[in-house]
Amino acid sequence: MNKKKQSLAEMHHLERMHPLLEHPVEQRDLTWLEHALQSAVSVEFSTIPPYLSALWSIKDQMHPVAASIRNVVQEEMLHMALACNMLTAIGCVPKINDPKMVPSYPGPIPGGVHPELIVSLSGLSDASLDVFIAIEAPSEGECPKTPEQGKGYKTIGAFYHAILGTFQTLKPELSTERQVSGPLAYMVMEDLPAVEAAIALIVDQGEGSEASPEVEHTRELAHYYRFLEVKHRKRYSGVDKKGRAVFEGEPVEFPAAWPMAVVPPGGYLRADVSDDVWELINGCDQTFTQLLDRLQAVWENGDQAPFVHAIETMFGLSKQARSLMGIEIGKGFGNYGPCFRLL
Amino acid sequence: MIGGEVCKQQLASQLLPAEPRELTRAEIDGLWRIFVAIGTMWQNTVHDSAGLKSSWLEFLTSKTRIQPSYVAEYVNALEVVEELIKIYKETEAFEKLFLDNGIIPADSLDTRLAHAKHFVVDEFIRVQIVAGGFKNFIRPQQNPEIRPDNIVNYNGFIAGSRFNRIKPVRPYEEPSK
Amino acid sequence: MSNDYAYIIVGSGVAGSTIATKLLEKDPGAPILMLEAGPQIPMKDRRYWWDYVVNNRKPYDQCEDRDGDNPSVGMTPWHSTGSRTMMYGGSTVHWGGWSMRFKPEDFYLKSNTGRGGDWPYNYDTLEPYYCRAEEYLSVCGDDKDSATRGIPASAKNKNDPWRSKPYPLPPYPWTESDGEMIEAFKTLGITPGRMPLARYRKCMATGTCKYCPFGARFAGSYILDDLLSEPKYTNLTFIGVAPVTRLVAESKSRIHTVEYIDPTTGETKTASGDRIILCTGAYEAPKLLMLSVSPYWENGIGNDYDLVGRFAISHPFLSVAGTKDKNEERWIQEFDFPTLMSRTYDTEEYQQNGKIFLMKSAMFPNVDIAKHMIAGKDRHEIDRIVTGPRQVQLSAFMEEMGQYDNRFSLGEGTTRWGLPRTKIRFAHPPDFRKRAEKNLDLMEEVIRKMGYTVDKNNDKVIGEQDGHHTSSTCRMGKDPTEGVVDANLKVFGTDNLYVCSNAVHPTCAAVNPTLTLVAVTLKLTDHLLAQKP
Repeated sequence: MNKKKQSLAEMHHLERMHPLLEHPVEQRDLTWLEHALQSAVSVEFSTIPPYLSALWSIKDQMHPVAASIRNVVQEEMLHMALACNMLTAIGCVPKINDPKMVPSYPGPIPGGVHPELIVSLSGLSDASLDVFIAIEAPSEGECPKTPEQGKGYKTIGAFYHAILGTFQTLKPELSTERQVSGPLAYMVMEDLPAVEAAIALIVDQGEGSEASPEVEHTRELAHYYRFLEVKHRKRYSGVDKKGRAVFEGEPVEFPAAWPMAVVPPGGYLRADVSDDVWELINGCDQTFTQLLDRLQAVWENGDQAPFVHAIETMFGLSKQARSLMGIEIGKGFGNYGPCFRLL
Repeated sequence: MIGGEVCKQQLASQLLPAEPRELTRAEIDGLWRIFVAIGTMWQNTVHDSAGLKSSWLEFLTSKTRIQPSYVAEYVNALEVVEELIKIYKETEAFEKLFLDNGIIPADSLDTRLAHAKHFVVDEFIRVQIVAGGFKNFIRPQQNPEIRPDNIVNYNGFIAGSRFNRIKPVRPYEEPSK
Repeated sequence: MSNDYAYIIVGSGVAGSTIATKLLEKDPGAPILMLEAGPQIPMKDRRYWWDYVVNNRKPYDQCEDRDGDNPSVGMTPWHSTGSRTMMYGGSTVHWGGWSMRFKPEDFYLKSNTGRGGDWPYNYDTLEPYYCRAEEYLSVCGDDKDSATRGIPASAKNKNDPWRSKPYPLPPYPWTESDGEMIEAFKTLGITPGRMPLARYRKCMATGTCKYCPFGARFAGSYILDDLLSEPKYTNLTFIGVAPVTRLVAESKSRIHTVEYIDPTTGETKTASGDRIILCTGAYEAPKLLMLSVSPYWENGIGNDYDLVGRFAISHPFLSVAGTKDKNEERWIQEFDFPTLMSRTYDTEEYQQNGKIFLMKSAMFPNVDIAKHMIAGKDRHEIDRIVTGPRQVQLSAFMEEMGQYDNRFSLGEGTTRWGLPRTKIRFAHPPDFRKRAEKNLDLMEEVIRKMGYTVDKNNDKVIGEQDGHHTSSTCRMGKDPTEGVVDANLKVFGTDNLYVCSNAVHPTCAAVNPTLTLVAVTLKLTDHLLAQKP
């Protein structure tokens, strides 16, 4: 299991993260739960296009760094799917292909998470690695482990704890209608223990806060440290006397990647590019839109068919995006890339 | 033969003809009851098959919204089950339906009971197994629907990308020297 | 250009689709006509997929041969039903995707053994095309299991011949249930290998490869879909359910016209092309040539030396099964293809006897749990079955050497596709059984080494001859006394007629022919593109 650590910036700024967390605990009702879960869906989803841009820019998709990023994307999608199941369990329909929910790039992560960060769509580079590292960075100093301890510190983990706490207090009726299980959403929220297990999984895999580079019971490094290995071009080799991670191990190869340029605000426009390039760019947007429409249909109808089609759409998008990434914008300007626009 | 007048009523062996349509809420609930009973009978699901529902719903949709439509078979099955439950009470009714009929040859489906068993129960069993019900026969000691590392696969089950960290099948481990 | 088209491609399987793809990549406006005798079946359809999973009905079952379509008249019965699919995309719609290269010695079968044929070129010539074919089919294989150039695979206990480029994708892992056979192989000096498979990255291990819901197993229909949806290919014409019934020769060497049945009217129509390529598989190519009789070709086009349809080969299928008392591990089938294979007996040393390509059958051990539930067994009974006796099976393709008298020719009447029936005259050579049993003995050794009991009466089987890998019916030769087509697949005596299918392979080695067919096809397209218009 992988763990994502909470950044210090995040802890300090999380009171801006969401007015929801300011809401008195005793007044958190089903409407609160709905908004909180929808926020969670949006936040998880927002990191996927930037991660996919970095992933798909790597020429050899079998490279260990590609495998690492793909793993992160899969876990973010799993978290999103579990949050969608939770939303569906309380009788709501997650908003996935809603223009208000789809982030625009460059831009902040939705909901006020990491307000200091501007996330762009670009190929894998040290600059994009810096952003990923910031997203995954662990907290320094003392880390609150429980919401009570963390009063005044509002971490992502605390956010999910707040959601869990509300489930435990309200004990709402949970319906399995329209929930989905499959390779990207293998848990169904049928009762409170299932919700607890799902949140534990999300927190453990990505949003928790323990102070160790190695994931519990495995020899795998948490995402943060793996990205640092690529940044330092050397493997993690232990901690120094102050407990800080040291990267003096074997060399890590930075994978060959297409120099996908940062997609400009609003994405590439028709007038700015050639016909051939526009065909690919528009094609990517169409496929991305189709992907979101299919994911929306999954939870609207509780139907596995669009889920199956969505998986294939993802692969189609990968193919189109990588074709685009091979095209130069102009000398010195880098290459094109997908805009992830909802049409 | 089990059942009463409804079960024993004679029918031709072929699929009952029907126009495609959306099933009603009541029909879906009634068919779901049959599906859940399969998991109960063979004790191979948790959460009353909730984890298999999205697959089952998709199957149901694909069988009723286009030709050849199974709508008439599903309506028939609901009436057969209703009669069986009236006569035997629920647990015993499903036990008899599932265990007392065996594999009925396709050219011998000459009663409403036989239709219900062949076109509905038998197909639901296949869906149940393929959608994840097989896991508990292979890893009975584990909770198959919650533990994501319960690696085992079955033809028809979407195990996930072979490039995932969690492999979709039980891999061969080289013996340590 | 006085003809309607630059190219007429007959047949839309992997060969025809690939040729069209490569020609159009170079010249998107090239006028190309593709004619396919069979229908198009939707792929990745959810209802069809559920019908396959629940009722074992595939939507393209209707495209298979029926009993009586291909009467077998020789001493050894030859079964065709299920061997191929007559449809948009051809037989790769139903194939397993096993993608092995032939080995260097397979190009010299006749020189080495006195039987069969020789290719007019060697492995080294085809090797770069094998690399391109593997890329094209997205083959997942084990680079570490390849020989080094100049050193035979057997010398280094490697399964694959030498390669100049790695596989595009890594191999599928061995499964837990492969373990017993892997250990037995090692003890017996047999090198365990990983089956190379044509699967895209989008494989989700669903185990329904024959109708993959994600399109992860390569199929010719996907290539065709891409071709027909590409707006740049403005002069590509595709006509389905349009069997070609005759080729018309203008002169001895110029064959420009095809006759085909129009699907909407049922009338015979004609089309003319600068070059005509028959990508119709090993059954149809010889019959179409034989049908195309004229004053220039009294016995059919390319048949002056009476070789069309001869030397037909396939792969005898050998299997040895074994049983153990218990299956405590509860092993069942998890992938829809074999993951463990070996080519240790597929080497030059074994050519004389008939090489064998070994694979652990994916279908064993297995328990059809649903079937037992349907039969009314309760949980305890099924648990006992799942943990009860376990069967394992080692299978093999055995190399077959072409014989002059084994021939595909015109049968009486036509099939429902409007194509002539195939008369198949085939007989194993007299020493076949002895050689096959020698191979079965080698295989039995493995099963026994695994600790399984072999029931000699039931478990050691020489399968009935079937048409899955039919080859050589219009084989390549150095000259027209040896073959029907030359090294560039051009029919001897013609200027512009080509055959591109398993029909042209002079040998079929001990492995599936499709990867080799794609390599040969890519070589042909290079040749066509290098020619002046």
